[in-house]
Amino acid sequence: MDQTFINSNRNAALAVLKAHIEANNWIVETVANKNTTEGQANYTLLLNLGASFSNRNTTVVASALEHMTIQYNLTEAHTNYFKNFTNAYVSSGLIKATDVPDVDAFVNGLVDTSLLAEAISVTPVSEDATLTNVRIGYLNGDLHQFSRVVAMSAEVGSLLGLGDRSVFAAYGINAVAPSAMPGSGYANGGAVMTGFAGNDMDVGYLGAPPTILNVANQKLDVSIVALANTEGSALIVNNDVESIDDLDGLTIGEPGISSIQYLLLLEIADRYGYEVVKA
Amino acid sequence: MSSLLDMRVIHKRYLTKDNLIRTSLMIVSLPIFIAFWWILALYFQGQNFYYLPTPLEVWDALVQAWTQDPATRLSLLANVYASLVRFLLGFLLALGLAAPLGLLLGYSRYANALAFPVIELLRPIPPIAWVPFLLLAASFFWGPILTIFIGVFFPVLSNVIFGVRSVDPLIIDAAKTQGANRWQVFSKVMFPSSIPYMMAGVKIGLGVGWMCIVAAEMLASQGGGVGAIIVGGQTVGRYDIMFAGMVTVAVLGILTLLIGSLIERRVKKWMGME
Repeated sequence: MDQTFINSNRNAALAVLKAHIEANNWIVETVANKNTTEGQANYTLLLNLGASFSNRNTTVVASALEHMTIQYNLTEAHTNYFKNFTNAYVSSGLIKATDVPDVDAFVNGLVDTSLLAEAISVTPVSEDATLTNVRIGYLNGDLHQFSRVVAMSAEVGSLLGLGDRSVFAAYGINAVAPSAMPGSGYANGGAVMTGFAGNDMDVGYLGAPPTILNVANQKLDVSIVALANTEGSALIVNNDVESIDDLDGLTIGEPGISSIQYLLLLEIADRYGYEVVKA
Repeated sequence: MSSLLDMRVIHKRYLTKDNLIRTSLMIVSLPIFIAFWWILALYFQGQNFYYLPTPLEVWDALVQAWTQDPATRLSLLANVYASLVRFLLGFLLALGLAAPLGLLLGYSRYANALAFPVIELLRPIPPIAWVPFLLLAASFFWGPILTIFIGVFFPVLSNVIFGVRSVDPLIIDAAKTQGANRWQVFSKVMFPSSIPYMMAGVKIGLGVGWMCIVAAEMLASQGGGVGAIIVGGQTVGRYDIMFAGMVTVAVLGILTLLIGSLIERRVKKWMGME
């Protein structure tokens, strides 16, 4: 989240987070109750929302939900992961050591959990309240930001008893796209960060690695305020690959060097004694 | 006495006031540009905008890239080599096809009538627009090469056609009067006359070629490339790396243009034009 946005409109920032939390909780409950008679309709709605946004069929969405953990809470364990990421970037040269001389201090300054704690107590606004425009950027078709997709749905808002309006609207937010964002969303996290750099975005749904990289290298005044999900970044292989060693000599695609997938690949290579080279 | 005379001639020919002013301006041009860049970068950084690195930061990124560029995990030379191979293949392919085709279309009005609509239809399409299609249709190796091919092909073709058509009809008539047949008119008059125009097209193509290569490599860059450095640096917010890639392209562009000029001079000498 953009720090200037937080400072200038803290209530809107808290409202966005509350809508995010509500949507997050609804997804978790819906998945947990998918096999119950009363939960099936909600689960179908969830799958359809995901399919419509990602342009994938509902089977793919269901599979994605199985492989990722939807959660908003940001704990110390996650902060430690961020520190590991930052250390990996410094040692690989993608972050200059002179820009981040103290990794602990850098990550502690980047993560702001105070908003999340405060947002829990935010209540819905009246139906005739004027909505605040908030520019929310996101990745093209990426289901990791399922909460945002769900929070945009009036159907879910209605199911949550918030009236005939989206979850965002119920908390006084009109989610608008950043002016320079491609219609279907940004191509990768690095591109999302250009929205912050260009002062075109208030809130962004993206992974921690591109955030860390761009905040360290561009000194952007941006904070990580909540999680959207953990896990779910997969390495897709054909059936011949059964172990890490089977990857030796293969060409592996990844969404970009600022992505978590690339970082995981470097980590795997490091752990198993391989080197990632450009094909 | 003779050497004194030589000196006077040299003085008269080269050490003119106009030449001195121009040489001095050329000498101070780059330092002024670098100073301006430096001041602008410091100004932006003072406003907390870090997207314009100072020349020193770019130099440091170049030094780091020399061993291994962190964005592509390749050395600068490996990236340059990858781009140069693409550039040369695309360029030679374009030249090899555009030059004879240009001669034919310039010479034959019927051939020109047949090709003109298609050429005019395809020419305005920016080579960059072809990149996604070419990458898939012609492989990740040939895709960027064919993008350069398109960028270089049309300037060379247009210039050669123009060159053939610009031959003074009086010279053609003179050749015919001397008993030259159609082939001799073509090979002894039209072809040599089109060479300077072809070289002008080559020079334009050299510049366009580098624009194309960077655009193509931003989408796909097997074995690296300067475009990969640029896009890699941008993705991670390392604008010093991105500018290091841009500086590399600029240097490569100047070098290829110098080589182009050298070849042009040789050709002109060989053709008896100098």
